[in-house]
Parts: sequence; structure tokens; C-alpha cells
Amino acid sequence: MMITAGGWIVAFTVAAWALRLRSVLAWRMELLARACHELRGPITAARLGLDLIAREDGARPDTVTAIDLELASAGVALEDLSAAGAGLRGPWRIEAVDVTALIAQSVEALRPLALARGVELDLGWRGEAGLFPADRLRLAQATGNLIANAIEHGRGRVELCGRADDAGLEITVTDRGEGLPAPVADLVVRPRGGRGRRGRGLAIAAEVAQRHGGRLVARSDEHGSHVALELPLRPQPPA
Amino acid sequence: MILAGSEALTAMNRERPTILLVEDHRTTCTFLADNLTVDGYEILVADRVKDALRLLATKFPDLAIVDLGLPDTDGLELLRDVRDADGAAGRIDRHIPLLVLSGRTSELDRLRGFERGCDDYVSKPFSYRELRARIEALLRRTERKESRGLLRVGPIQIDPLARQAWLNGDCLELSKKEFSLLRALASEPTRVFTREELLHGVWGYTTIGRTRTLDSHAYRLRRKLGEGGDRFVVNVWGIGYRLMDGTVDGAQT
Repeated sequence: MMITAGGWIVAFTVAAWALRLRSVLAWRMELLARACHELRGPITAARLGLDLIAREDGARPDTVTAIDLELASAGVALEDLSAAGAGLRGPWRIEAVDVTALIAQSVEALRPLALARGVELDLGWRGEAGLFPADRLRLAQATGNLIANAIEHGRGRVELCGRADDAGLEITVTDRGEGLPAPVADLVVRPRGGRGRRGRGLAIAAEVAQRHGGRLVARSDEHGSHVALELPLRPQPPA
Repeated sequence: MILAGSEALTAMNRERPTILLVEDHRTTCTFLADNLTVDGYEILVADRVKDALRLLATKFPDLAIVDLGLPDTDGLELLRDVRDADGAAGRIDRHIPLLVLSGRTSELDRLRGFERGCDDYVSKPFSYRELRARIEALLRRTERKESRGLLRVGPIQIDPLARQAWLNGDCLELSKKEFSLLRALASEPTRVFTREELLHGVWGYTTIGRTRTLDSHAYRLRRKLGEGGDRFVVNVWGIGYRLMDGTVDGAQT
């Protein structure tokens, strides 16, 4: 088969682009690996330092626990970043979680942000407390994102309310704002890099819900705007 | 010269176990060492493999926590050097529990760590409470292995759990340290234990100096072992002591 001069030029150009693309990807992977390496040390040191602070007289246990939860969540994000570099998803750890304690820690961690924005942050629980099978840190990640979103974009008081029963777990964040600018399903799909921070936080919360076999739902009524994580009692293994 | 293998000795020092921390990230190292010290461990610190090997050979820690990304050599080389240590001629206890603490988190990294001989692998960042629980589990496992069963050396019989010893069936009235010395020597009969190993393992000394403690206890132990006591507890001049079964006379040096 004869290959014309034009054909050779096209083939050469495609090969050169492929090589260039491979080189760029390799460099990006290296940058990613370096960033993970550089983050690992400080997060490790910060958690150990916090353990030392917790031993001191006058340390506030609630605050220490809340900060530790934040640092542990950062560790999970780091695992995700590291896994993404290898084309994988971060690990998944189902355990018996004291959800009442967990959402209290999430609220405590975000209280300074609420105070800075003049938002009152309330916590409630309906029904019997207990342990719920879930990935603790990812659940904290989802809850934290929903609260942060409500503080940042909602209006007035923000309420976090949990409820668990035989069917499952529901964690609802309510604010006095006008609600989400679009349906959840649209906001969590992020074409061309997304639609800003609100969409990203909701996308994370929706994925956590989905990986627990549940869903993220939103509705508005006379009390305000509600975004809820609904998780079934028996979570499915992650996809 | 036979010097390696201080398992029984380390068990004596369990009240305040010594941990060697090999970590080059200064803040992590400081905070981890401080936490472990508050929790009752004695801590030795090294930030490179060369120093870690020196401490393993001279201070005989009960457990080592090893980071992998070290400035002079990969921490995996340290694992290999420890596990390949010559039990007959080296000073490093090849059976020391090794816990890897690393930012290398993939399955392959973990497999490499276990293949090179680590006993546990913890990824950074980690929960200190979990790390401490893992350290305790490793130390418990080592202690259980060491303290199981009766020891017999010729006519001498030792029950480590009951802290009782007998000579030809007659119960020996030994002090706490005399018993610990006898048990340490009986853990590997005929092996020569250095003065440093015995003083560290039985008395918990980290610096030796010019103490006569070991010699005076060995003297009393010999006397309690009867007229032929010096045939059991043998002074290897210039090095240390060993326990014989009483059928061979005198020191060998």
C-alpha cells in the first residue's frame, strides 16, 4: 500500500502529539505525587501535635475532637488524591458509627465559620440514638460540606438534624435561604470543571450518599430550604 | 562471639519498653516521640538508617518504628539488614518487631514492606491511638512468645510465669533481679550475653559505666546454686556471662 507524503506528515504529527501528551500526563502525575507527599507529613504532624495538646490541662475535648475529625477527613481526601493518580478510587471503610457524636463534631468544626458569618448553627436529633453502619470519615465529609454550603449560601439560622430508624439514616441541613439554584441531580453533574464551590460540595455529598446506597435530596417549604442525606440501613458496597 | 538475640532480655524491661523511632520528618518525629514518652515508653530516635542500625546494635530496643523515605537509604534496606542479621556473629536482634510508618500507601508498597520483614504497616497520616494499639499488640505478641513454658538447663528448671526456679527439684530462694538474671541467661543456654545486654535487659540501664551490679548479682546467684554454682553461671572475662548445664568446667576464655 502506498503512503503519500501527506500521510507521513499526518502520522508524524499524531505521533508527536501522543508523545507530548504522554510527557505532560507523566509530569502531572509527578506533581500530584509530590503534592500528596508534601501534604502527608504536615497532616501527620498536625494530628500528633493535636494528641499532645489533648493531654494538656484546659484542652477543650470537643474542639480537639472536632479538629481531629477535620484532619482525618483531610487524610481521606489525600487518599482519594493519591488513588486518583493511579486511576483508582480511595479506600472505603464501613464501621459502626455513632452518628449523633459525628454530626456534633461536624457542627463544632464549622462553628467558627458560622460565627464569622453571623450564622447561628443548631444541632438536633430525632428519635433514638445508636450506631449506624457507614464510612465515618466520608460521612463527616458529606455532612461538613452540606453545613458549609448552608452557612455560605443560605440565609439566617442553619439547622442540622439527624434521624435514624429501622429504614435508615437521614441527616438534613436546613437554612432560611431560597434553596438550591437547580435540582441536585443537575448541580452534582459538573461539566467543564463545574459551577463553583456549591456544586462541588454537593457533588461530594451526593457521591458519599450514593456509595452508601443512598441519595442526596433537596426540597423547600415554608421553613426554608432543606438538603438531606438519605442512607439505607444496609449500605451497598461501593461501586 | 555470640551476641545476638535479646528477646528474653527485652521481656525483662517490659515495664518501660524501649522503642526506636526511625523518622526524618522532624515535626512528626518530635510529636510522636513526645506522645509515646507520655504513654510510658522509652524512646530512641534516628533520622537515617546508619544511625538506626547503630542503635539497634547497642541499645537493644524492644520494637522499632521505621519510616521508609529516609535520607541516606531506603527504610526497606533497614528491614532487610535487621532480618538478615547474623544471629551468631551480629549484635542486632533479628526478631525485633518492626512497624513501618510510611506515606507509601499502595497495596504494592505494603506487600514490599511485609516481604522485607515488617510485622505491621501503618500509612500516614494515621491515628495515634490506633498506632499505639498496634504497638501494644506487637509487644504483647513478643512477650507471650517469650514467656511461654518452662525453661530447663541441666538440673536447673525455671518457670517464668510463676517466677520460680529449682535446682535438682529444690526450690531456689532468689531475689527479683537474681531470678531475672537467671531467666535471661537460661533463655539461650551456652550463649554469651554481653554485660551491656544483661544490664539493659535485666536492670533497664541505657548507659553502662563502671557498675559492679551485674557481678555482685552473678556472685550471689552462683552461691545460691550451691557449691558448683560457678559451673552454671560462667563468667566470660571481658565480655559477660553465660549459663551452662553444669557439666563443663570454668570459663572458656
